[in-house]
Amino acid sequence: MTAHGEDAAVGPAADWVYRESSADLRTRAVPYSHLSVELGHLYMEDFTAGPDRLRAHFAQVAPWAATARSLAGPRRRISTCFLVDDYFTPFSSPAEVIPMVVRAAAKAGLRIDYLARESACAEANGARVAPLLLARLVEEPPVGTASGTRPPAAESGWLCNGVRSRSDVAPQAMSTATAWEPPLELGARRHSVFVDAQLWSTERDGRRLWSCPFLAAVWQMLRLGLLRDRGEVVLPPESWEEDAFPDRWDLLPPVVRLNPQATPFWAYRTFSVLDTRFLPVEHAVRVILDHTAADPVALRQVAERSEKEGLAVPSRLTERILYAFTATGTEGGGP
Amino acid sequence: MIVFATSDKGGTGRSVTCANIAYRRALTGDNVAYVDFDFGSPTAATVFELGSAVRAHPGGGVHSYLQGRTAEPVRLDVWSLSEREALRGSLRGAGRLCLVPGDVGGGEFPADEAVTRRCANLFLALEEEFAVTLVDLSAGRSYAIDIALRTTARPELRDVVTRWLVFHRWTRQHLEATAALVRDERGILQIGAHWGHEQDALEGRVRYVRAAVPGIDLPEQDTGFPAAGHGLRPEQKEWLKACDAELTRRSGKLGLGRTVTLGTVPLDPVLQWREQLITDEDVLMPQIANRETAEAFQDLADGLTDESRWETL
Amino acid sequence: MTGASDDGATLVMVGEVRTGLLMNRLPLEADAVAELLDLVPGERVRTRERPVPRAVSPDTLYGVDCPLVTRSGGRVRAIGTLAARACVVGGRVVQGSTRGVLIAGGDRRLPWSHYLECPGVVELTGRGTAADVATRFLSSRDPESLDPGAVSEAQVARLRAARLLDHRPPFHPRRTRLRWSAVVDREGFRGAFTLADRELRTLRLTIARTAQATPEQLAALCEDVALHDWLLTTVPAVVDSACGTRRGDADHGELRVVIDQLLHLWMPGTDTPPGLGEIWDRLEARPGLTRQWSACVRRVRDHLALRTLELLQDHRAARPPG
Repeated sequence: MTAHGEDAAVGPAADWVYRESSADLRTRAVPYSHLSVELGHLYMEDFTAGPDRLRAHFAQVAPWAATARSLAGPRRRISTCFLVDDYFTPFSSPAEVIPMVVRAAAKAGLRIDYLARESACAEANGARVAPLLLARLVEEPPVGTASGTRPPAAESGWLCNGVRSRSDVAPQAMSTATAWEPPLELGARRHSVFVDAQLWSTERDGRRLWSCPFLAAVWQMLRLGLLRDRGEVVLPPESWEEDAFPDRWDLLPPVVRLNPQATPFWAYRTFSVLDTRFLPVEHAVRVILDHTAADPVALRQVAERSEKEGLAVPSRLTERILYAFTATGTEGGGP
Repeated sequence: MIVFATSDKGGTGRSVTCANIAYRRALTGDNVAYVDFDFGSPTAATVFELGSAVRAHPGGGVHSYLQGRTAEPVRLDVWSLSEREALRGSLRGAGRLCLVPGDVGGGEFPADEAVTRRCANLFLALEEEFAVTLVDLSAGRSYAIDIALRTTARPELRDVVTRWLVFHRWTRQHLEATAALVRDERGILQIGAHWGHEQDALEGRVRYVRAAVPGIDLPEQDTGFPAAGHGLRPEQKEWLKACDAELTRRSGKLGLGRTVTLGTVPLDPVLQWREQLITDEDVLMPQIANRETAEAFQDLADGLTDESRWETL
Repeated sequence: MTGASDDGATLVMVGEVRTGLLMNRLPLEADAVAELLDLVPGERVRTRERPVPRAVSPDTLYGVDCPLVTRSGGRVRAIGTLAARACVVGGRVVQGSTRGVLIAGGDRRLPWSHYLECPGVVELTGRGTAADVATRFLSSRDPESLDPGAVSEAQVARLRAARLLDHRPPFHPRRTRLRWSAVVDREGFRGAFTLADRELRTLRLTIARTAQATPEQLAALCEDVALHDWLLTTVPAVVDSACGTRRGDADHGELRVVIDQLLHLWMPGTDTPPGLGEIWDRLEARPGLTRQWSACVRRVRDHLALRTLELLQDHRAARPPG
């Protein structure tokens, strides 16, 4: 998270330069579409409801996708993506699911350019992904924080947008008891909407299970092209050359390019059409992203590219993310 | 090295003895830190005569630090800040002597993970700059002992040498209570095992200090003070000797015998009236304190790192 | 966040560096150091082998919202993030270094994401310029005001707790703290280096804009000064006590550590970009750091020669005649 990736051994007008490769740090750039449109997010309960449900879903999504396309303007690069849950409750197989989903989308006139596995937002091919975002979270200091050394969300597993009502301080013997104080949203105008989002939980066997909001935040950061792992691009899309898809999710690349002519997966802005049951999840995503200090070099790359095209991309991450919430009548709650 | 000092009951002179041990140790050239973990009544500042220095940093003591109210507890350099003239200006060859005080008016509080982590940070930070860190814990089954056991079981403190000194007076009641504090249910060894210490190894790191022991046989001319046996009838002297022998037998039975006793501090009139550091000046000119007391403190100070006295038996 | 090349804007920075001995019996190898400093997933540790091995961790950000006092005594509010990192030199000396660029802010606190767009920048609201605040920062004793020192301490504490270390330092030197402020302005170079007490040092710098110093370069410079100040605080003290012991009493453990592990770390000016070289020139003139160091090193060598002579004499005396 260096503010500058500069090498101290080089002066402004140097005729002699000494460099060591271990001090040389470069960050890869990626190409960008103007807009990344998410056409849906498939969980087991959606799948078991059958292909009709899927068709109904895409029929709902299609007008929104068309609106987004027209709002983006003429000659804009727009790519579409679709996310499948193989993290919380894995179901079926790519060989069965992918053709079904692609057919249902086609019936509504939609084309899925990229298909991604939700588990990839946690880790992929042995490389960690979710921890990359966790490392970038910076908690908001309450008034009176001189050094911000309180234990960060990275340890507690919870992130909030203000000050919690529970006191962090254990009560002392023979001290005057403090009255209960309500939580407080920092930066609220008059009244608070206080959110305390769980980022992960720990399974009985000690494994860490990332929460849906956290993986969704990772997913947004991936689509915005802002995650890097030691300077390398995280989860670059891969093509699947064979005729049939594999029968296990872990044999499928984390992000698959289904359409060889698709514009880039990464985009300046994202637009997602989601069922209303995901509203609290996305609120948590926005809280997470409002507390994310993205890689400054990646941010600069986006700014430079968009400026070259004569576009202005909002500096605030949550202003690059747009939604439409629909109700397709699903009964189940989130995962 | 971190040395924890505790006792089951108050009145053992634990704090003043530890302060004197720290003083003697610093004179030999080691950097020494004294941490006042006596949460119920932090009073070490009095012994070092650092009262105004402590008051100049309200909310900067160990209580505030462990509870997350301050980023770092204050460290007071005794040589430069003590109000006692004899301590001002460090002697040649002496190491640093610092007090990490408790908060004025601070009280006991339970430990949680955050408190333990901060405690571990503090101990490691002191271990970095000080060869010996003496931690004065509250008496009895206190939160302070709990925090100490829980913290020293953490992996980051696994490599640091930690030792325990349990103080007791030379009476039957003290012996029984002390044995219970160490070995009984919810005692030091059991709680230590609960937090992850290996019980036998922990027991090997515990030694006892017999405090405020009245001398029976010391002839008057050596001490300049009437010995406890002075002016007693022969029958009374015999009775005292028998008591002493009985206590010695009992201490052996309870596991507080000579082999696990690091040292003995005699009853000293100066310390009965005033808890203070006994310097060499106090012993020599004028002869206010007993030479034996100063020697006992020196012996304890040396004993902290005398490996032969810490070998497991 | 851009550097000094902002037209019309002066760059004002404050920070604090804490320096101490790594809690390990022997100096760490380069791979172990890289692992130790790998504190931020997805970011890289920067390492350098020559002239002296040095490794720097990636930055971690800490949010702050606290008062600061200006030179005139007024209070401003500081909101933003401090950037902190840890460095290890020669596998032996560890530093926690925190910095913040001070700029003028608005009247109210803005949504937090605004402050995250410029990492390591602190916005000041209220009356008073950043330069006023920087001046007062060095002498501030207010526990509630901005405390980069506490953040630096947190960085060092993180390393201390690492399982990689054996936590048996070969000796127990005092840590030092260097509190610094830097103002990049139109005028030329000015500065003051003060030893406030046994632990605290302050460095006040005013640098010309033509030096084109970036915040990161200024921080690296202060880390370099802090390192050499620590060496100069630690080594002469050990040499003093070794030379002061009586013949036969000498236990040269600490002196040996100093000779084997610390003497070769003296390399001032390595991390200083050409535009800021003037600082070292001034420090070498007054008080003359390298001059003092060289004298100390000579003293060590002479003392060892003397000790060798004594040992030979003792040996000869112990041998029976004939």
